[in-house]
Amino acid sequence: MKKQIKTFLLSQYGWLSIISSLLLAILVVMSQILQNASQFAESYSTLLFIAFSGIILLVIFLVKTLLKLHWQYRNNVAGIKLTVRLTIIISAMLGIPLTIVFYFSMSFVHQGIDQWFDVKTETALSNAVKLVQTSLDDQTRRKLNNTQQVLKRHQEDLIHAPILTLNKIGEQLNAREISLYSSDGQLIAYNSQENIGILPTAPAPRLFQQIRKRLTYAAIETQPGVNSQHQFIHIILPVNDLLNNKLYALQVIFPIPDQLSQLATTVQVASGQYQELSYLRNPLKTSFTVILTLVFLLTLISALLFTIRTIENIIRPIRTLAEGTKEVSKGNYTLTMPIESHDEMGQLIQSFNDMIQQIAKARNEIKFGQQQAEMQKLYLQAIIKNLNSGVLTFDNHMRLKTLNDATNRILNTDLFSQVGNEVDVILNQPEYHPLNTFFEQVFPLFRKDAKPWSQQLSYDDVSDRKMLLVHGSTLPSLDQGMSGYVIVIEDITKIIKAQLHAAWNDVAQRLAHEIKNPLTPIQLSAERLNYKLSSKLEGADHQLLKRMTATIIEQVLAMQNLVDAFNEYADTPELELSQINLNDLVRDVVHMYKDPSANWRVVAEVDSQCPIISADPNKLRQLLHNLIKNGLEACEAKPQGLVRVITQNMNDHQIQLSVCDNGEGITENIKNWIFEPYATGKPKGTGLGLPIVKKIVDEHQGQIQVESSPETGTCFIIQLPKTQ
Amino acid sequence: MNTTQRLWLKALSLVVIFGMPTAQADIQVLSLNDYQVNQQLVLDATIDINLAPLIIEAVNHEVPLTFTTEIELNERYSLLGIDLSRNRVKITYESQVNYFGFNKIYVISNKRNQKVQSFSSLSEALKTMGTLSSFYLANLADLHPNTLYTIKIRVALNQWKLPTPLILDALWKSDWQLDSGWHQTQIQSPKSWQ
Repeated sequence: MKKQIKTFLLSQYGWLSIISSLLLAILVVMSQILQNASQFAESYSTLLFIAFSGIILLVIFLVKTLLKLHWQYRNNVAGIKLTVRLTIIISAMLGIPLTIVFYFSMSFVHQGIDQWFDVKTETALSNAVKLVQTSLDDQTRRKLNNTQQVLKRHQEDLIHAPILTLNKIGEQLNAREISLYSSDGQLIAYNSQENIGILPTAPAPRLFQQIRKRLTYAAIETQPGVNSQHQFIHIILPVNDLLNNKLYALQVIFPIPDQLSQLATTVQVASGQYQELSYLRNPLKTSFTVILTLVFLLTLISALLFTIRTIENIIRPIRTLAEGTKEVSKGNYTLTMPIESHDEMGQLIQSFNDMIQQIAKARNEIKFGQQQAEMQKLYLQAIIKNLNSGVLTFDNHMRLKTLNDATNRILNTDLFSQVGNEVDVILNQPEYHPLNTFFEQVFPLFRKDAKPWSQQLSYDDVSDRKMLLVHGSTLPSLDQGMSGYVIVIEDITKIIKAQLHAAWNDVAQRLAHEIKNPLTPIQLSAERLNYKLSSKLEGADHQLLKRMTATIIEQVLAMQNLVDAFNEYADTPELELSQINLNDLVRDVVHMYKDPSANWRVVAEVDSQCPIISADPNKLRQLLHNLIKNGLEACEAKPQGLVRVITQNMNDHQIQLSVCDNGEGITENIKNWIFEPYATGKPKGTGLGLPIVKKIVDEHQGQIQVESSPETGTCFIIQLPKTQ
Repeated sequence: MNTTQRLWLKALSLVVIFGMPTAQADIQVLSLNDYQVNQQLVLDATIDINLAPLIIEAVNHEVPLTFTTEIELNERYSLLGIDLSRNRVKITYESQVNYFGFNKIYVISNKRNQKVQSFSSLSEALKTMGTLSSFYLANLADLHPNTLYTIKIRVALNQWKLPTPLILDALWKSDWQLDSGWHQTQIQSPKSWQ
């Protein structure tokens, strides 16, 4: 763990720490050199070069880092906005105080340097120098006077006995060194209190020139080595040998008192340093400005780089989290984010990973459940769709939720477009008015005890009356309540009709068997009675016999016709299909009804585009006869009865055959049972004409509907398939 | 410090230094003569050191100036027909000019022979420092007769020996760029060498 932390710190902050520390050390050394370590001045330029280069390197790193941040910002990398925001805030928090400190440091440095060289200090130093110089000059002057006085007293002795006299003069003057030279610089005699064995230093040639001009020399000099500790008073006096006309030079060196010498040295050093520093005032300011600027830049740039790096390290887990969240939002639940640290952020990422796994697991389970439910739904939908029974469901608010094709077929409507609408809204639409009666009967059957119910209902749609067996039940909900209603509709019309048909067949067979068979003997007996007795009776009896036998025969014929009609209705022979031209068939049949004397007309209006169809011509002929007869009977009351037989090519699959009369029409009520056997409203009819028509149409897989109104009469519209 | 570093520092110090050169100052080698004394090759040279007022002001403020004098004796020879040169003698020494305001004297210190000399004026001090008289160069016995020898001399102000704060100024301002450059002369081999 510790090793990991160390490696992380080294990799993240190592180079920056090294460069910053190195530069800081260099700047500290430079500052020291600048202040008081001039012996290292030669390395100052190298350090300055390294410092500049280091700062430039840091600036390059900073620019590179900022460019990287800019690129990330433009590419909207996760977490970059937070990084930039924090960087700006912390940079401002660092930069502003640093700048303030830098400004005040600069001011203090400049003011401090200026204060070193204030007028009072300069004046004091100058006065101190003058004071020391005056003191030394006074010392020199006094030494010169003393020397001159002593020389005046011992001048003769000095010329004749220089060695002894020099010793004496030296003792009297308390000189450190005294020597006598000839005018050409030859040493004649000397005396020294310190270094007896060492020859004295000869005066400079220019001083001998001065002596030759009989001029005295008195000055404070410094011994070679330019060490102020070795200053001395140097006096040279000309000594005239008037007898021999020679000139000598007496050199006397006096030590300066230690206290005065030390004071003079101190003042001299201070003055020298002050002079040097006063000249270096501006360069010093410049140098300190440079160093302070470098320190400022180093601190600021290093702080910025450290800050950015630290923020990036802090933001990295957040960035990882953000990227992970983005991936999860895209639906990628297989993601596992790397955990780079074991702190709270690491725990957060771990928790996030666990959460993603849990979500993925739950999602898979939900997905599996959804698939199962979907399969169940599809399964049920397929079942419901393929059911011959209609299924309708409604929610609690009586909104239509689902239905199947069979519902539309049975109810002869299209309710798919009404899914989601309330029943009231649906029934208010004109095209769904026929459903009113149905739903008015159905909904009251949903009792509050929610028990299933079944009810047989009749339903009158536009063209037909249907017998429906309706089952109803409420739908359960998760809260044990009721979530809606389900209605199952079975169309039992065919079953009813089949039962009816079977009954009629049975009746017809019984009629044929029980009634038709005796009719012929009855008829023959009647005819025989008429034949045997008509010649024996006369007058009124003869007429009575004739009339009664005629009646018997007529009624027998009527009964035979009735029985034949029943037979015909009950008989269900196989269709004998052939390719026929419907137009020709229509023309043939219509032609049979040509009667110029009649007050009615039967006309054919054929569509020449009608193709050859596959049908049983005999059946269709019977159909046409039945409908034409029906039409003629309907318009009997009309002075100009008209029955039109119309063919029309509808489409590729169907043709339409219509038989229309201009009679008074039929009521809506009659329309519903007009095709039922023995449901005629006419006194003479058998009640089987239209049922037979319906039967023939059904056998040809066609459809028949009735349109009727008092103004236009009645139209039977038959749609037949072109091929069977 | 090499030339590149010097240029770097010059360029970088531009942002903090706004000084400009104030007056023309230079060091010129006026004469360089060789001759032999007691089978020794010696030289006389006269070097004119002209300081700008800015530098004179610095000296008068007791800022020490260090001059570097370089003297070389090179021998030219031919190897396989190619003219080559090799150094036989190389002498480098430093001289420092100081001013002591307390004593009002200018002192020249020769770091080679540790000699110190005081002057009452700067021009006198510089003149003395720029005068080389009977400067021993080599023993004639070490040289080859009929060989071409050249003497080179160069005197320059050593900026790196200036007080540290002045170094940046000296790097930028041309007044402090005092360098005579190499001045050379060819020694005519006298017959007496033989």
